[in-house]
Amino acid sequence: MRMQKKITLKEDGRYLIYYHFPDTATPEETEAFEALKETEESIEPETEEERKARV
Amino acid sequence: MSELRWNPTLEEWVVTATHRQDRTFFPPPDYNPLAPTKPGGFPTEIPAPTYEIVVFENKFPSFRRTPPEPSVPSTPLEPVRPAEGICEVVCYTPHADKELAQLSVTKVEELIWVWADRFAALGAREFVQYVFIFENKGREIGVTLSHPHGQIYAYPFIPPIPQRELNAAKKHFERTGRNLYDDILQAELEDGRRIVATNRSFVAFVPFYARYPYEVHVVARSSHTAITDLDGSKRADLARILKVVMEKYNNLWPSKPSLPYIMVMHQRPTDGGTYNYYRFHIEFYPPYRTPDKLKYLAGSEAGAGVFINDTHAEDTGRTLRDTPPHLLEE
Repeated sequence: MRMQKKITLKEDGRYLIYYHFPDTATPEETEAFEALKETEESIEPETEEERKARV
Repeated sequence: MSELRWNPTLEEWVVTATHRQDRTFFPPPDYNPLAPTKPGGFPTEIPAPTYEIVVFENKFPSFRRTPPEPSVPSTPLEPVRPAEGICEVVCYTPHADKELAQLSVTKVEELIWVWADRFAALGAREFVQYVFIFENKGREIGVTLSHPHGQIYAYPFIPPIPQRELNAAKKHFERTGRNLYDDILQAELEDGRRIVATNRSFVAFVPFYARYPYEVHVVARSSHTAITDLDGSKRADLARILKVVMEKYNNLWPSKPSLPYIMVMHQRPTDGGTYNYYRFHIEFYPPYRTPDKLKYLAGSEAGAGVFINDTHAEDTGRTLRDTPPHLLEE
């Protein structure tokens, strides 16, 4: 299953994560996801799997 | 204000979160904070005009990434510490009139992928020792927003119930060399009377020791200790069996087409320890014992920790098994 995510920040500093599934999303959902601007701030720590993939 | 206060008599933390008194309480549909924000409409928690699944930090959290200093001093007898942790809200769908049981198997499977991502991301944080994924469904459970959603608490400690399960599983392994959950599954499958649904990866049953009349546990057949251990095929199997269990609940009584429940996920802690003797599983606790009678947590349950179940698990297991839809495959 293909899954993408974009992390944004709310005005009060809380994070909001949008998950997108390209294989099942409607055109409106895809358009809404693609229009999102991700925060440049690093919010999520590196997971074990990501670390293994990197090294 | 929020803080952790230690109860030395039970040796457990209590969270005080006084700001939660002001949280949103059954807003009208046009002010649903979990809906997407429509152009020109009320700005909800989710600014996008639609979404598939979203996760955000709770506006009224019991735990915070940067918690305030406690409002009372800590003492050796009664330690106090900041409520460091994370509370997330998971919105399953933009459609307020749906519930998890009504989503397609594919949508439930997508949610499982999101749960797995949250388990990994939250568990990777230094201060998080336990990631607890759950859903409170229904007014009877105390839900204040009817939009279909679940929650995730990233605790800075291992909570008491998972800790008791871990201790029991470890003790069983040390005594027998076997996994406690393998032995429970074997006993349930051999007996068969309490089985609700099965597939190649999971077994759903009313446990022999059920505390709630229609309590169901969904246990992995293989030695997985967290949702992230499940490959794509097992995540699909989990989606199928979860949907079957939730649909059975809604079909149980015609007068309760949307049966309330608490759903909790029990997984290994994320404190870096090894927990191979444990097993990933999901538990459902519906509060009803008949279509119009609630099971209350009263004196014995609340004050002594002894649950009194007014039913036999063999009877409720059979009832749920006979309630459509059916999923029994070996």
